[in-house]
Amino acid sequence: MILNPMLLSLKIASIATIFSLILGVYLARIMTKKDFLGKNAVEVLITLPMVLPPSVTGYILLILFGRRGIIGSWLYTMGISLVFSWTGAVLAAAIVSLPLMYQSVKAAFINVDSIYEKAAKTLGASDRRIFWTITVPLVWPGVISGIVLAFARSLGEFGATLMIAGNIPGKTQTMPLAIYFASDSGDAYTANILVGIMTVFSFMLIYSLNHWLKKKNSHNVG
Amino acid sequence: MISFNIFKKLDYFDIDIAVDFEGGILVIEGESGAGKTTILDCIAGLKCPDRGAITIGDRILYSSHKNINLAVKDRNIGYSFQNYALFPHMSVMDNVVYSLKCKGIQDFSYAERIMDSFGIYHIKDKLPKTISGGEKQRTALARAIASKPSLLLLDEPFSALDRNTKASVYEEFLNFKEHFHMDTILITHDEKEATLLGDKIIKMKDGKIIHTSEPL
Repeated sequence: MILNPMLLSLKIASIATIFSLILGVYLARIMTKKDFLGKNAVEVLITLPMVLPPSVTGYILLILFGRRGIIGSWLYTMGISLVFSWTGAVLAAAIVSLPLMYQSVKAAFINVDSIYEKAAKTLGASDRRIFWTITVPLVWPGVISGIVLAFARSLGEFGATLMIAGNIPGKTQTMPLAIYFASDSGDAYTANILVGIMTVFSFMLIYSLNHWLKKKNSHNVG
Repeated sequence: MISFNIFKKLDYFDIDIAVDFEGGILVIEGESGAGKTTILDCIAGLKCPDRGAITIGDRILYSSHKNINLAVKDRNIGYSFQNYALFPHMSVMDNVVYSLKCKGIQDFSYAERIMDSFGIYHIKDKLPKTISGGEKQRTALARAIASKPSLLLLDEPFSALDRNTKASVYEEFLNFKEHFHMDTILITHDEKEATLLGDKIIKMKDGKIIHTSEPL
C-alpha cells in the first residue's frame, strides 16, 4: 500500500524527467536560436500546462491519446495504448513538467554570452563541438535546476495522471493518487505516511538544489 | 599582402572602406561605434559584408563579385576579442589548445612554447576567473595564435588593463611581434597606443577612413 505507489512514482517521475529533459533542451535551443512564423504561439503552447488546471491537460491528453484519439488511434494500430497504463502516467507527468524544464533551460541558454560561441567558431570549432564543449557546460546549472524541478513536479502530478491513467493499484496508482484515495476511504495512517514521505523528499530535493546553486554562484563570484 | 574592401550597411551609417597592407601591424583607430569591430567580424567571417572582397595573399576569403564566402573555421584567422572571451569553465591550457583539438592536433608542443614565452605556463591549470588581467590578455593572445593563423585580429586587446600593466604589456607585444612575425590587425581607441604599435595606422569615423599614416 505504501511501497508500490512509492516505487511507481519514482519510476514514472524518472522516465518523465528524461523525456522532459530531451524535449525541453531541444525546444529551448530552437526557441533561442531560430526565428519562425508562429514562434510566440509555440512558446505559449509549451508553457500552457503550467497554467491550465491539470484536469484540463489530462482531458486534452485523453482526447489526443485515447484509443479513438488522433494520435492514440494510430498508436493503437501498433499495439500501443497509453490509456489506463503507467506509460500514460509518464506522458501526463512529462507534459506538465515540460514548462518548468523548458523555462530553466531557456533562461540558461539566454544567459550564455554569445561571445564564447563566436570565439569557439573562430578557433575552428564545428557547431556540434561548440554545443557540447561550450554551450552545454555553461548551461549546466540551468539544466540541473530544470531536472530537479521537473522531477519534483512529475512526482507530485495528480490531475492529468488520474484523467489518462486512472487509479489502478499496483499499475497506475502513484503516491499522490494513493494519498487521495487513502484519505477518501478514511485510511489516515497510509495517507499520513505518504504525505510525510512526499513532503520531506520534495523539501530535501529543492533544498539541495538551492544549496548547490548558491554554492556555485558564490564560487563564480569569487 | 592583405587587402579588404568592405561595404556594409549599419543602422546609423554605412561602413565603406578599402585597405591594402604589406604586412606587420595594421592599427585601426577610432572612437567607440566607428564600426571597427564590425570590420574585424567581417574579416573573421562572423558577419558578412553587403559587398566587397577580403584577401590574404592570393587566398580569397570573401568576394561578392566571385560569390566566395569561406566559413569561419576555414579562414585560419586568430581572433582575440575585447574582454578576451576566455572560456570560463576551461583551464588556461584548455583555452590555449582549444583550436588544436578542433583540428585534431595532438601535439601541443608549439602551444606550450608560446605559453612559456608569454609567461603563462605556470598558471596552465588555473581557471580564467582566478588569473590577473595581464595574464588573461596573454592567454587570449596565446589561444589566438596557437594554431598558427595567417592573420591575427586583436579587438582592443589592452583596453581592460590598468596603466602600469599596459606599459609592460606593450613591451611584451613588441617582443611578440619580433618573435612571431604574425600579420596583425589591431583596433584601438587610443591614439598613443596606435602610434606605438602600428606599422600602418588608419583612423576611422562613422565607417569611413578619415586618415592614413605609416609611422617611421
